[in-house]
Amino acid sequence: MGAAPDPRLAVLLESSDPIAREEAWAGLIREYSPLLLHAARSLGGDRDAVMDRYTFILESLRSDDFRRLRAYTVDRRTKLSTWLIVVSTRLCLDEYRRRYGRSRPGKAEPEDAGLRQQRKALVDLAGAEIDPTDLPDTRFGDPDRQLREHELAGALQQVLATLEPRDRLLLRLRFEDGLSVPRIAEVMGFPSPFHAYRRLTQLFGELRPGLRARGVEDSVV
Amino acid sequence: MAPHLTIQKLDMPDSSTPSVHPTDEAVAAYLEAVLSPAERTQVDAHFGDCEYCRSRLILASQALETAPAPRRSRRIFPVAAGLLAAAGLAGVLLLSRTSVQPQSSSPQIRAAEETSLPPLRTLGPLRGTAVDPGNLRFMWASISPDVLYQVTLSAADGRVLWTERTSDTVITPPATALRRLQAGQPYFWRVDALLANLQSVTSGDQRFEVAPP
Repeated sequence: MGAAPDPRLAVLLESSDPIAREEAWAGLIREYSPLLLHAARSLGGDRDAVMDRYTFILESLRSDDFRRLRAYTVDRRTKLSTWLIVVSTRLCLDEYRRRYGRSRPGKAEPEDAGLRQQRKALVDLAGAEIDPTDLPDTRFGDPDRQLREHELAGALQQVLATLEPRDRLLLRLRFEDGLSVPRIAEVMGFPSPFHAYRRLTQLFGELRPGLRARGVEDSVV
Repeated sequence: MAPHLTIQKLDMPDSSTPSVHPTDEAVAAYLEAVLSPAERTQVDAHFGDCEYCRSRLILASQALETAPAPRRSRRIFPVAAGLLAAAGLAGVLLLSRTSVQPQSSSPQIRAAEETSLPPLRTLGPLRGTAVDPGNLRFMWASISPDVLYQVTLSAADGRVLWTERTSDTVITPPATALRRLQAGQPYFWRVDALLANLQSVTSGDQRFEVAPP
């Protein structure tokens, strides 16, 4: 069982005829360029930025004698189109993070970026040191809210450690990444958003006593 | 049973947590729900602890949900491909000066993306020809007025040697790029463009060789 192999991949990766290999590559690009372009657009930006990413994706797929495509052909349980989307978005994400740091594009509000990093540092058990000069300027912020954020993060970390992996991921996506429940249902493969809502409700019913003991009242920060 | 599916060390930039992450194959299998229960539990556990991989998962999932269908064309096998290459048929990617509307893909945009476009005809160097680097010029037929094209010159291993954007339909690589070309070696060039309505076309890689002195 598995995705039907694209014959052009075999030609591209195994043929000794360089012209045949180039034709196979050209054919794959013609068919999948809308997909790759779509992945390049997924991180936003103007047309130049999108084209830069698109070019970067093509170069990366081709580099090192198509090393990434060879890795795909070892395990063909998925469609080539799905794999191309996964690889392309990761390549774009890596490039974005090299340029702009570890925040996800379009996710963090600029005014919360510093606080979010500090909260992440607090809950990250790797014990990263916090440079006091990097602390957010509290002259214009809400110290109580910031303290609450820190307390919430700590409580959540303790509770998460007791959960099954799938439940932990569900809560991370909801609390750390701020995804809507319908979006979470898509990402995690729930049969419907209703199933995700139901599991989230069940989780809070199971965890509420422990969360309340740590000052967490509900799922909204 | 799938080999090396789940955790593998990847060369990742400053990931927040462990240096081992699910492979791209594993993430694709996760999104298509074809992992075994044990594999899925392992990957779920990693996602739960790794912000970087959750970012990967979220971006890929969002892109998959709105992705256009691949442009279905006749499967071109080497013999037929040679004939088509001689006719100069290829997909084309057009650039426009106006900025794209990012991220969300409306049905109108997807319909535009799936509409077939007139092919961009490359005029030279012709595929497979040997070229004197002193006379090297890239030429193609115009698609439309007021369009920007991006031309890329690459080595056989995929390294980009030079790239430039132009509104013209002919361009000469600079001396700095020409000096990197070696006689007898194959190189590839392509011209790409993106329309304002987000239709995309590419000429595909066109192979040529540098003629011996």
